[in-house]
Amino acid sequence: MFGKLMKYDIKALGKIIFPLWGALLILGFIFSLGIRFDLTVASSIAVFSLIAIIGVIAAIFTIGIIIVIQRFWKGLLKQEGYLMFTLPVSVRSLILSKLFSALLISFGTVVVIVLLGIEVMIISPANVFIFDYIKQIHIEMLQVKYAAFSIGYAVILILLAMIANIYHLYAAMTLGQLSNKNRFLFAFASYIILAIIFSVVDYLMLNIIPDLSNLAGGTGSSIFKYILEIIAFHIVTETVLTRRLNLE
Amino acid sequence: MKDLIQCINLGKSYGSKEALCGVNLEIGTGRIIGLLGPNGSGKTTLIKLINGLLTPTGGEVLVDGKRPGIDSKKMISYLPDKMYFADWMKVSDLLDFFTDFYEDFDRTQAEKMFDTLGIHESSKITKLSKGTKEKVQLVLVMSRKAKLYLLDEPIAGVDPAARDFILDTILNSYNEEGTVLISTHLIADIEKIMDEVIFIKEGRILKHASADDLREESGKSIDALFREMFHSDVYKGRKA
Repeated sequence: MFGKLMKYDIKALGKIIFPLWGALLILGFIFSLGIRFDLTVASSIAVFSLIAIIGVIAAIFTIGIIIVIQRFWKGLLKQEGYLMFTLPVSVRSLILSKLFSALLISFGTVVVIVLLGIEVMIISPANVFIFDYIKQIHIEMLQVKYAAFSIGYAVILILLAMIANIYHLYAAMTLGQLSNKNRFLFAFASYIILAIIFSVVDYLMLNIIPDLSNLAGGTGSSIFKYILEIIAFHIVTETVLTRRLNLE
Repeated sequence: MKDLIQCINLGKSYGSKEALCGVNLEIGTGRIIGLLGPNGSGKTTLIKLINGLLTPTGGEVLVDGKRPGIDSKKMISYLPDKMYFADWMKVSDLLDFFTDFYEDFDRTQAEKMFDTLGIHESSKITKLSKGTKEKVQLVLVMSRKAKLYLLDEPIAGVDPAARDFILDTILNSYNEEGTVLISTHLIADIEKIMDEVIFIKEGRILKHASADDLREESGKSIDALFREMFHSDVYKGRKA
């Protein structure tokens, strides 16, 4: 059932994001051609397409946050909730399918941006230079001890930060739906209050376990904080949606 | 025989406002029941408690002996009093959705009904008129071979011709071993199909009896009985 939920969530998100991915790759193509044929007209095309690429990337990130909110708010807490909460699935799978589909779309965006880079490298004449540069980085990285480990660690840290931030939004919206008067305002206030609570918890934690900040090159406390947030926000979201669902 | 729905001292309050209070109710299988009451009497709250969209603040509700959960949701086909479709969906997406999530969904029957109604599967939900959307929702809900159908105001706000279509659809397609609970305040329209009636007022059950018995006892139609029972509410005790 979880896979089926994901399928529909990805479909819903894809309707918005897939065209943007397509636009990005097409603009990348135009940009690369603009560089390759270094004519006056072509170079102005390159400049314009570069501006458009930056614009689309910015749009994808902004829209990304908006649709994470919208898919949860509209998809579970408004009228669509009448359909979703009467399905024979657990509340946990409803929440996790929203989370995983948001993560999958974010991952997809990273892949598309990498593809965009490769596209530009291959088509534009700058490829020789860029390939040499990448080779150089690779050689230098081999000389650094534990380079792969550091990259892996950074990826995990980013992933945890993303999950914690998405859950922060989910928990705030879930608390917001409890209000019978102004759900949006209540959700907004909940977001801020949860942020304050976790800053205090973070501060106290560092005081109790000062060594935490020295772990893993100073990121130990961040990892600990993210994991704590993810667990706490999930418990809040699941418990409230199971016991205090309050659809309009 | 085990009751399909059992409400034991069931209550629900929203803050200080009591929507449902001390409801005791047993509903068996294989019948069509009218849940009748004026606006704001607690009909929707009772239905939402049965299908698990709300949790009680007092007492409990059991469906087939169990509290609302995944098992009860498998056997309940629910028509809410509002549209619950995602706006990106086409009619065909909804058919896929119901096929994926409900084992008892009869896709062929739903497709046939859409065909009869002239509703194309490639139509986007947002492009359909309000009346057509309601029909789509009803066809999907009634194409399940469910043990329990909870229909919340299925005929409110539609013209008399559409009402006939809705009632025919319910009668022709429901699983005869299942129970249909229809909430409405338009009694005359469903008078002829009801086996049992439940009168509800201000969150309390006033009467739960067989429709035939009630008519025989009072010598009046259910519609007339309803008007009598709730007349004083509208006129605040004054004679009209």
